[in-house]
Amino acid sequence: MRIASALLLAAGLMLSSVRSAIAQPSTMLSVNGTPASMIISSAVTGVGSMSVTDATTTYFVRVKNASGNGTISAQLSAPMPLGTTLSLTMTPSFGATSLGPVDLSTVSQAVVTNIQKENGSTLAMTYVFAATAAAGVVPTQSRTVTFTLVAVP
Amino acid sequence: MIFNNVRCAAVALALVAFGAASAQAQTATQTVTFGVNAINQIAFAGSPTLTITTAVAGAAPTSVTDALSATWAVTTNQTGAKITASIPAAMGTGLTLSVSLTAPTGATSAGFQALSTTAVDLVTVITKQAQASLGVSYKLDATAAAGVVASSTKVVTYTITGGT
Repeated sequence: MRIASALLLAAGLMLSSVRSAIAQPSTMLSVNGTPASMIISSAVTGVGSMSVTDATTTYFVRVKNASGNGTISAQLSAPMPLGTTLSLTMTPSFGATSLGPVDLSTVSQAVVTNIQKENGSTLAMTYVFAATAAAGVVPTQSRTVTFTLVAVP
Repeated sequence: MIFNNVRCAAVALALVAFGAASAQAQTATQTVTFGVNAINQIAFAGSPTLTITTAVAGAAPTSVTDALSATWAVTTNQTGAKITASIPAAMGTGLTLSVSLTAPTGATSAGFQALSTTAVDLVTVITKQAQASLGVSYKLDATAAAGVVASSTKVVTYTITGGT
């Protein structure tokens, strides 16, 4: 009877571990929120570059198996209009390195590197949309930013 | 039965553990919306003073020009913007106040233009430019008939009109 109880307890603990593993994957990246529309409607007179900033969104990162070489990269779904840039800065988790601001493009670029073992943190993201006078009037449009977290176990 | 459950749990755990170890890449997406509205801005700095004090005998009083006391700046992201200027009240009889603006790259300056209550074009064809520290030149002309004119002030209103 004692043996049976012990086995049941062990089985229960194992199932609990299974549930934990399912609920908390060792590697996780998510973004929270959608940036407000970044519309440039004024300038510092005589200055060539105009910009607007959005820092309203965050990201969540968890890397339990990394050994100090996890990387978050980002890329756009389509090129930016001529004379405009969209840059991104992601606050790094403890021990990681932010490469921001990074001008985003259709080529995947590292934004945060050296992500060490991270149990899960919600961190800030800052977008800056900039345009030169030469860009002219740019109709409102959208780009999808795809983030990829690669962590070496 | 108990052993079967334990064995199933162990298998499940092994599968999950294997899955976790291989799940090294994660992706997420975010939509960013942006745009640029039409922008037409100008700024002027400086307050010149013009006083006529001399003449060449037999000629009208000598005009005075100030090209150092004022500057202007422009930002437009449109094509074919222009700058006009006017004053709120007419100049006194025999007096003419003129202004000339240095044109930004690619634009055209009309040179000295007499100011009146009707707006006059000073710079045209300003296209997608942002430039600062551009020159502003004022000139005051007077005829002998103007006589002695007490010091007075005029506010010059500059307007940028956007293009397309």
